[in-house]
Amino acid sequence: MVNKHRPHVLLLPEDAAIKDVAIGFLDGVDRQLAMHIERSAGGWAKARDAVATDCYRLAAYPERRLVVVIDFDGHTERGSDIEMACPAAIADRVFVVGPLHDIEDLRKALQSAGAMDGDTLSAIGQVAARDCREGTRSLWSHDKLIHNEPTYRRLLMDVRPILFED
Amino acid sequence: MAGHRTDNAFDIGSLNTFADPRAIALRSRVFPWGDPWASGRRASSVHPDRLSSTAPVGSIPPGLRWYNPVMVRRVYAHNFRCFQNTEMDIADRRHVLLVGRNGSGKSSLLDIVQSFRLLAFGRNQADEFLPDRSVTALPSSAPQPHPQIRLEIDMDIPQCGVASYSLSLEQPPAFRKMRVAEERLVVDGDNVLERNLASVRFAGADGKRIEFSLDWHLISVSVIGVPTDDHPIERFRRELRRLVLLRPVPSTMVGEGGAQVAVPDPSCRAFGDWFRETMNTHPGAYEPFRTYLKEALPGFEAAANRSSGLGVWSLEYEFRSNSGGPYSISFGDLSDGEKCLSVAALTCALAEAAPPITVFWDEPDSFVALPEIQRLIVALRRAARNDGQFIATSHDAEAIRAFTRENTLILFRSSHSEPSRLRPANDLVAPSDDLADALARGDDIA
Repeated sequence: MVNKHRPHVLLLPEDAAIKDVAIGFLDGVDRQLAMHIERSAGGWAKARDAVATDCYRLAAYPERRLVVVIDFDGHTERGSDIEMACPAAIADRVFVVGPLHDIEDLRKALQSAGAMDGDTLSAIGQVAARDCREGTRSLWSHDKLIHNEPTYRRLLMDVRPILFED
Repeated sequence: MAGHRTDNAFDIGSLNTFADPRAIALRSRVFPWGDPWASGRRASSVHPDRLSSTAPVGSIPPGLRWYNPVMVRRVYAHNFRCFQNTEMDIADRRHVLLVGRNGSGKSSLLDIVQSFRLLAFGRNQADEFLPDRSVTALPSSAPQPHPQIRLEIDMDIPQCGVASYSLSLEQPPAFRKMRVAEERLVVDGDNVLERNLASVRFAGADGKRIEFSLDWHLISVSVIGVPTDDHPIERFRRELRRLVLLRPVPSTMVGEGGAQVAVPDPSCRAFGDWFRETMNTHPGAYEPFRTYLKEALPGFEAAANRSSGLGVWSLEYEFRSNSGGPYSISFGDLSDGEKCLSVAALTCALAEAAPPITVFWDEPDSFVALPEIQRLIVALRRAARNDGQFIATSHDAEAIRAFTRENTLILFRSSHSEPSRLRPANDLVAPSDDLADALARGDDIA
């Protein structure tokens, strides 16, 4: 259970496969008790609806950040669709990231590029966490993730200090 | 033939009863090179190999080989409860979740590991090795004169290699008790111990093979004296002793006691003793223990041991009330959930102060409130980060969602007359499906 009165991060995965990536990310986080993985939404549209429905909770807890991880399926506008589902006042605390197509596609691409240890979904999350800790882009600069660059910069500014020690 | 007698049914602790003629007779078989107690010394001090200048078999100079320090790699069971030729292969998995319906064998796997562990604490009678109701009730596919239970475990032994231990037990019709049919310990490819009924072959120092007979009701890996502490048998026993196997029963857990308990029994009954021994041995464990409980128990400030006199101690928790005043609660007066969170706190603290450890917890989510479950699982996963291992069983959706499917194994059986099987969740559930939902719906995922 995160302490809702201290800075914390909720991570909403689109589906169970992305949840496995999120668990790998959580394994690589320093302050694990500041992060909670939500139940998978069951599709990107349901993730958008969940954000729209629950955004009042985000407004109620100013220390909360919401990271939504989806498969973009080639539609990069989905990120802004989700961000626009909540009021502008809290949109700066919502972060939408994910692979350009789907997570399996990303796994295969990273595996063939030798960009991660092992071939599991959680290994993707661990590399992503290592990047966030060190502020690097070994994973995030990949062709299938580079579209996240503006959001990744915001994550480094706002979410990284919550989850990682300097 | 040795071993057919039943009148020497005393445990290894009784071997210290030096004058007991039964002990003398048994020691002559267990320590074939000579009775170590004859001169009033411990076994390890009189073994002739100890006098040799060369290293004993299995002793590998540090640095030459390195394996993952602690890990249960595999457990195999045949004719044990719901298992027939069933294997749990968890090599290289730091975190493992076992899920399945009631009666699928999740808790039985912990019972098997616990039985192996008790061997290292001196439980040596074949009849006492297994818990009750161990012999399978499953119909056999092949005619058997009497079912033979076979259990195996593979474990990493630091700086030594993989230890593979197998034990077969049987009870022929005319026998009143179980006997050992076969026993074998292989460490890093070397046969350290081989056993067929009463006949035991054992690797001493310099590759010297020692053969002797042993009462076939006794399990040799438990009773054999070894020449040095770094002998593979002793290393294997040491790693078994270090396993942390948990199935807390909060209503029986007490804070009072005066015994030394380095690792608890699964019920954690002697929690106070475990806490005191951990803090005495690893003082660095206190701060992570306190930090965990400060997060989990509102108002928690500290844990303190109070002397009750005559070597008896009592564990108390100090809290601070909303008005700022301190007050104490005896450990026994905590709620069931608070006691289980204390077990989690001490386990995580031990992992931090004395890594690596392997933890096998049967339903860690029992008694714990919903908001605490993910924190507890994450903390235990974190505890396994330093080359340890965390194995759990669970029915709880929140706990299931805290594990990746690649680290989740599903136990299943199509009916009560069928043996249980294990398969990775990845093989059974579509990547986008939520496993907890599929299990809750009763989907035919197996």
